[in-house]
Amino acid sequence: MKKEVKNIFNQSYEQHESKVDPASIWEAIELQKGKKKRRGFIWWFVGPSILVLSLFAYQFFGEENITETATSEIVENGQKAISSLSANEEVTLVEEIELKEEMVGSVNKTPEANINNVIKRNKLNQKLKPASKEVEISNTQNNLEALGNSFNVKDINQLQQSRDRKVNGQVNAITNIGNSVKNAPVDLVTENETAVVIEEKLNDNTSFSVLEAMEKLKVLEQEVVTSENIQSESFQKKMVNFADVSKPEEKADSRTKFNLTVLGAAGLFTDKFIDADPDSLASRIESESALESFSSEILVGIQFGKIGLETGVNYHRSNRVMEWSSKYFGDIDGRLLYPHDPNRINPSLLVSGAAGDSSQIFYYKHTLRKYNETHTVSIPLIINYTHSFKSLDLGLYGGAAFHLMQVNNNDVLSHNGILIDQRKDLFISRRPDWMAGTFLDYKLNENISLTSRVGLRFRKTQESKLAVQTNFYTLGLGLKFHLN
Amino acid sequence: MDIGRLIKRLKKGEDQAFKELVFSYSSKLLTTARVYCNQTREAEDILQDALIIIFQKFDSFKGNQEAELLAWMRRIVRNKAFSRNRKFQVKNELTVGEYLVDVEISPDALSSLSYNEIMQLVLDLPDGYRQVFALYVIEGYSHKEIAEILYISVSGSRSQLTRAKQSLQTKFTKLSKISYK
Repeated sequence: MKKEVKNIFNQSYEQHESKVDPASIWEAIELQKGKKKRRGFIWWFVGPSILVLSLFAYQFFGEENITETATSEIVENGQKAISSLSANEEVTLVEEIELKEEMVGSVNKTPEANINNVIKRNKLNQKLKPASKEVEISNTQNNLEALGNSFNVKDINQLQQSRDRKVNGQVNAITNIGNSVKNAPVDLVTENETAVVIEEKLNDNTSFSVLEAMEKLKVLEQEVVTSENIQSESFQKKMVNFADVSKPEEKADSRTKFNLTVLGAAGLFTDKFIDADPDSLASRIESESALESFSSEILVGIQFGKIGLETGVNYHRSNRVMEWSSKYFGDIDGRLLYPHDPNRINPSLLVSGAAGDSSQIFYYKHTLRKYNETHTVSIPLIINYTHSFKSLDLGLYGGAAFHLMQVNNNDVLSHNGILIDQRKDLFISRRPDWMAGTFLDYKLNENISLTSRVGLRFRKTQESKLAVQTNFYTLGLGLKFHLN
Repeated sequence: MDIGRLIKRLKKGEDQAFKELVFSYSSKLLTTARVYCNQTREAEDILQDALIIIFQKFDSFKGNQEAELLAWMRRIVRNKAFSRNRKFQVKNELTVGEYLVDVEISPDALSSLSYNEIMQLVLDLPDGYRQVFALYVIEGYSHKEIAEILYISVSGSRSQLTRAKQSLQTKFTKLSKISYK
């Protein structure tokens, strides 16, 4: 071909502009980009779950911190106040206890009650050094309010309603205060505060296993304590050695526990096809889309303190849709003139014919859809780390699921577009699925917990040269039965 | 339009710059897509896919001239079209044994037509003819290279080109006669 002619064609090509609506192209691109962005749904799934777990954790850990702070403030402030007592001044423990009990009971009640408390508090303060009076009043008031708030709201009412469930918490509170007393120099108010705390607890907990130690404190309530006799041998003998106070919770934690979990889960997943030649994957990538997955499992667990092991049986099902849109041209009556894209799922739809008059050709599209399922039965082996707090167990887990069998109920397209029937195809995959996630258990009672799990499960399946990497994102709910 | 600035903004990944690119070059790139696609309907899909690749891979563009940018984008559109064609495995081979006589397109036949009319006639060629013709005449590939690109035989490439030229010559002659009248 002559150079001159080639140049003419080149110029024609360079300068030609096809009619196009850039706005619609841009809109379509944005939509396509949006679709890709939506693949970030994983984070929409995992993100809120982490947030919910964090809120739970904050709610309960936060309350614990407030209680501990209030208690330590009481002890600390009490120490400051009593350090100003002179040797011959005395304050009865009973008097203090009575006052505090009334304050505890009347906080947030009536103005009259509060006035009475102020009068009583002033009487008490008269026995203290005038120089430190203001500090003491303020301290005592703060202490009482803190004590009142914490016990009124958190402990006293709840103790009456659910005594047994709170036993561990009470022991912790007592032990915490006890340790503070033990570590601090022995002084009156520290013991008073301790006694008050225990007094509150004892009223409702006569069956409490640490009653022996508490009984010693009961004796102390009736004592008239001064700065002098606090050092006396007889008084010292009556002091509670808080190191002797047993910690039933720790003992319980160290015990081996068994549990049975029944769990159902649902979620979404993504497929990634891996092959040396990307073109050969075109048919499958074009045709297959992930839908959703379900699983159910029964797990038997053994817990050693914070670490646990679980195993059992897991049934897992994933659903996919395979669809192919064939495109062809026809005349105005819908008669096929010639096919454009043969339908890979059902090639018989392809109709050959001669090209017709282009002025009368219309564009047609026909979509065929099939649903595929993959069923897997596996034995999971899971290790978990649990942090218990009151009625909640929060933890992390990870492990593998070893396949017992996998059944495909599939039709797939081969690299050259031929339909391959994999229905009722049964095999065992040597590769285990890997799992990881978080869980949150809520103890409904001593025997049953409501358990929830947010997790990831990774599966790699080898099909001839083709590998399919599937990532499952699941949310599970179930019941955990504590067997001892 | 300051092309240098646009390229810099595109390299930063600015959405607005990409929008400007789409509005400025869609019509030219659509011509490329129409030349190499199998059906006109597909051309817009190819263009959209190619534009997304252009945006994602813009870092790999090394030039700073408009001609370089356009050539780079056209190459992506063309590759996208071929990749899509391969998926559907549409072949445009001629029947073996068909007798073909090579023709030369006369410059005189083209002289009475505008660039736009000439290109429109090229676009109206059947898929196989058009692709081979564009690769050979416009892009300057050899028949061996075309055979590799289009997954056809070398003789198939030659025959497609001959048929394309025959078809175009006939159309140019007809149009020239009409325009002379």
